[in-house]
Amino acid sequence: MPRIRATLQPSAIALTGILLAWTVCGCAKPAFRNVLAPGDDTHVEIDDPTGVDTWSVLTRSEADVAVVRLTEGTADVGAVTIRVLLPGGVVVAQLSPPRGQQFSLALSGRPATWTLQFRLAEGQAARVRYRLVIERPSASVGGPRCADALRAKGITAWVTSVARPPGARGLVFPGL
Amino acid sequence: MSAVPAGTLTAASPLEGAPPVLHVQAGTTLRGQLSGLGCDPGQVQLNFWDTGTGRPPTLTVSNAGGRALCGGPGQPACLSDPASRRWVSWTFASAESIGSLSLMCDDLYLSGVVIQ
Repeated sequence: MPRIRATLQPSAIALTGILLAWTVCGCAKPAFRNVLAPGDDTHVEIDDPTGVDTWSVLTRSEADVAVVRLTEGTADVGAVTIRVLLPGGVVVAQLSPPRGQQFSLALSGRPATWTLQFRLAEGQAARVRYRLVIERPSASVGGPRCADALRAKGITAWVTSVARPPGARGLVFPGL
Repeated sequence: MSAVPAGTLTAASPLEGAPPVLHVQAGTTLRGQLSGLGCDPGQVQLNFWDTGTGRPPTLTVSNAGGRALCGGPGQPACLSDPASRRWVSWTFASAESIGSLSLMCDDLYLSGVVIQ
């Protein structure tokens, strides 16, 4: 019996280690479960008037730009409001898309995990369906007004947040 | 964005566990020359946390020629005395292109800028 225990013990330790690692990974995962990357195309539905739909998007460097596009055939993106946060509850943008069928948000300025919270706009009834598409900005060049220049790149609003004081060039919107 | 006097803008965490953002301290004016962005914005949003220390922040907006776009007769109000110790999103929209911003404050963390 003691001999059996001696042979089982390393296996038990290994099994415990595997379970522990699996549990740790499992615990760490929920914060990043809804991470979207360029190329992702997700259908979303808010069916609770007080519900918050939360997604994360990564930028890997100061020069990296991620574009989050809300769209859906006949849906009205003005039915939702968008809050953009950094870890620790740091609010970097609060946006109310105008009525329409598309709204695109660019995120840049720092390597970060950006959290996007979508809620129903005031007075809006559930249920609201839309698509979230993650893209890179287009290289197209628009007019001198930012609204036109951004639209040419497939962007409606460009959010920047920096982790250090800007250099001589000031805030940089890569590719703009 | 640049600080006056130069070199007084730092990066710091506004709250425990938060990543660093721009920290504007007493005696510093933060100037944003938006005419150098690459396009002319008609709408700008600033997101910040004012600690409530010292004077309340004030923010003025001008066109490319330096003429004020807020606070005058028939113009929208400039930012003054916003809520402290909470995140504030202040949006300014103008039919005329926004050339520059000037933010005076005593202890404020600027987390994000949105252009449209």
